[in-house]
Amino acid sequence: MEIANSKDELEKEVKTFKDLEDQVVSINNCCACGACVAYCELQEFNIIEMEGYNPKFKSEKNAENCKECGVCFYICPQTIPLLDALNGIHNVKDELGNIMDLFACRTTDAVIKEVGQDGGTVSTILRYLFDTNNIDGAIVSECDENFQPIPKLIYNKEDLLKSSGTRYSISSNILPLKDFYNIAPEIITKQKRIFDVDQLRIAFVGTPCQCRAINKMKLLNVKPAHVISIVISLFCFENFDYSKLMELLKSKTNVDPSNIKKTQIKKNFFLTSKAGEQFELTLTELNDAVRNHCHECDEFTGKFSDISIGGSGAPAGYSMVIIRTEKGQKLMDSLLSEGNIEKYHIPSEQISDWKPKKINLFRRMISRKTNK
Amino acid sequence: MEENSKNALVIGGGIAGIQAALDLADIGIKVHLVEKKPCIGGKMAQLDKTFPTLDCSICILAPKLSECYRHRNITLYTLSEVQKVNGSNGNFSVEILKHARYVKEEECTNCGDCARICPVRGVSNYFDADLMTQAAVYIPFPSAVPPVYLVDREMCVYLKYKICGLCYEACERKAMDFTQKDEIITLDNIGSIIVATGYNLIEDIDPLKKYGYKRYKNVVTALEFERLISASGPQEGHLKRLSDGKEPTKIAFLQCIGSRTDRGQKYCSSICCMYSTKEAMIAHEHNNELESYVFYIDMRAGGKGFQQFINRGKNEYNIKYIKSKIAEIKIDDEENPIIIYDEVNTSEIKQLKVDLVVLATCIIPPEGIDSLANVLGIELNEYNFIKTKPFYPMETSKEGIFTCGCVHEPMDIPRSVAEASSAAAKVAEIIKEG
Repeated sequence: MEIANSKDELEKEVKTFKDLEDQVVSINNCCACGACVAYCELQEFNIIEMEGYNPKFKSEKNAENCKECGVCFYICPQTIPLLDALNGIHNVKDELGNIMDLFACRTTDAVIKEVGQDGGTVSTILRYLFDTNNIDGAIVSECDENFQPIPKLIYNKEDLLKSSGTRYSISSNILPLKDFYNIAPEIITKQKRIFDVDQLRIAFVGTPCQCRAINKMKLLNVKPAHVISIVISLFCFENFDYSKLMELLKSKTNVDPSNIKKTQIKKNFFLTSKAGEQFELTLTELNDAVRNHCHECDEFTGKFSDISIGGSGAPAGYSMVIIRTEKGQKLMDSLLSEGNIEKYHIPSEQISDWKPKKINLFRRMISRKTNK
Repeated sequence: MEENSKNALVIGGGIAGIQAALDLADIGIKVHLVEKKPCIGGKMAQLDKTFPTLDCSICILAPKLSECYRHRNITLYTLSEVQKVNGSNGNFSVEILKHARYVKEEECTNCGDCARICPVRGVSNYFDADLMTQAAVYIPFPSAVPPVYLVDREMCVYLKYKICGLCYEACERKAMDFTQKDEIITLDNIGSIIVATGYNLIEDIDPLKKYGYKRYKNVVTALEFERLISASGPQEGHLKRLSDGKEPTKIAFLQCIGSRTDRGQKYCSSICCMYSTKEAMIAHEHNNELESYVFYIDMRAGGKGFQQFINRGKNEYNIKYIKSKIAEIKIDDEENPIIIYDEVNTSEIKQLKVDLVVLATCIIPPEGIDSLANVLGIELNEYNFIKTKPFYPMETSKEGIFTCGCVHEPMDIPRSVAEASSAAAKVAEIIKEG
């Protein structure tokens, strides 16, 4: 730690984007969430940008322009600072994090059922939040014609369905927030009631590492995370480099990226082509496409969120839901009581050990990851 | 002018404290004015207009604020609290805790560069009744006195984690000073003290769930309404509903919220009948089609020109006064509040759908009154306001300590100002003789 203490300088811990490059990016530990770039762009410092999956200085000259605020280093989900505080706030005592409740459920909406991943729960939650005027926008990941995920800040619920379903490639979900102050006036024109852009409420959906970044930012209250009102974490075992994954899939199934209809991981990797063919691959077969930072990751369900959702452990056609916070609990209670989602009824003979079994499964998944 | 051997201490920088300080300072007495908030002006600075003259509140207050700031006989201590008082009438010594502002008062030019570069956003602003947000370095409102930014120590990334420092670099005047510490200032030779720490409102301690406050976006408190309708407020003077931005055409003003009840504050909050009428009048000036309904228990218009003010409301501003008891507030699908009430004259249960409900919330003793009373050694009354006697209205239970304004009972601005001058006269008597 370098402490500047000359007379007219502030005594502080000097961290720059250079430190982030050295300690995270250069050792392939960057998870491409986009937090550093989104923050720096909103500050209008014009210093760093994403290039593929990595942030970098826009130019050598820009490296000298770094304001040395250190915020990018602190909010990076892959650095140590703030993690203890985050664990405290989120009541994290073990690798699974705080579990207030755990159940399987599915949407009752026929349209979402059709396009959703498992139980269509995430899409249903977001639609409910839009319908009840509890959010003004949501960060989701859409998908282009070649099955490449495109992170996007949407503010019309009609755009929701485009993002349903899972793409197993990196999507820098925090990055769209770099344009927050450009998009906000459009949202306000639509939503006449808001007069302070900083009070817009955006739902965030992302992987555990992205949720970690969002919560680090929320801990500091730095823009743009101050507008995130609810955080939904998706279960994530590992994530893939888009080009490498598509190359591997093409070689193993002969399906072109543009002909993929749906992909799913349930122990193994399942691919459905637009022609209706089904393929099953083991995850080991796809190992070469896994991003390096995923090998270092010790999360699976997403400890730092209001609700964690995923397919693992859920009966067919259902999603598993872990409630993390009071806010998450209240939200899911409303969805259930208003009939937007329905809970999976655990067969009576399984009731006593259903939850412990699921928890054990999650623990096994995490230890499989960390021992890999 | 001959120097007095003793100085005066005024606690509280709202309209009462300001008036008392100015009166004393003008006759040559040195005054220490202590304010807990970052700036002076108190609640009056937040109001849109005052009754019964409908003067712009900040317009008549602002000259007094700057006079206070510039007066050679007034020393202003903001972000400060009195924490110890020794001595007795004619000779007190006082300890003030002055919280660090982290901005040098003498260097800050109120330019706002610090707030623009601050990475923190979304901190709610008390001056706008928490309807607006700000950065971690802020000024409560643009014309605040002193015109100096300050750092919110709970939100500042530098103070918490020793990173950032962007404002420090951005300030051309080098006005940021993170080495500032809270300091204790001792003032000796205080001849007499005036306590004018004003009031809080019932919503500060009671969530008002019964009225759907916070749950229903179109139910707001009177102070929120003042900010919403104020030209310097969040909506820049265009009154709009918080739920959908629609301009309201029917507003209900509910009286006695939290007051005159055995289950809450037993006393009358004194100013609400008048300010609700005033708010309905201002709203009518924004929209001549507006219908207003004041749901009241008893009309309290005991002041010079007050009854005429109510009559004008009825005749010229389309205000209907309904003597009633409120049973409940519901909302319909478009978040329009529906008021269910018992109309006293007919004993009928009725309902009225409106666009917006404004709660005339009750004045309560200011936060921290217990510990302040303890420090000063003065008594409080059964409602926790400062105890005063009917024929010695400015005198507290301790000799040499006087009071004025809402800290001893709810009152309007004209009376607060009158009391402030009265208290100042009492203090002057002691100091000039001493």
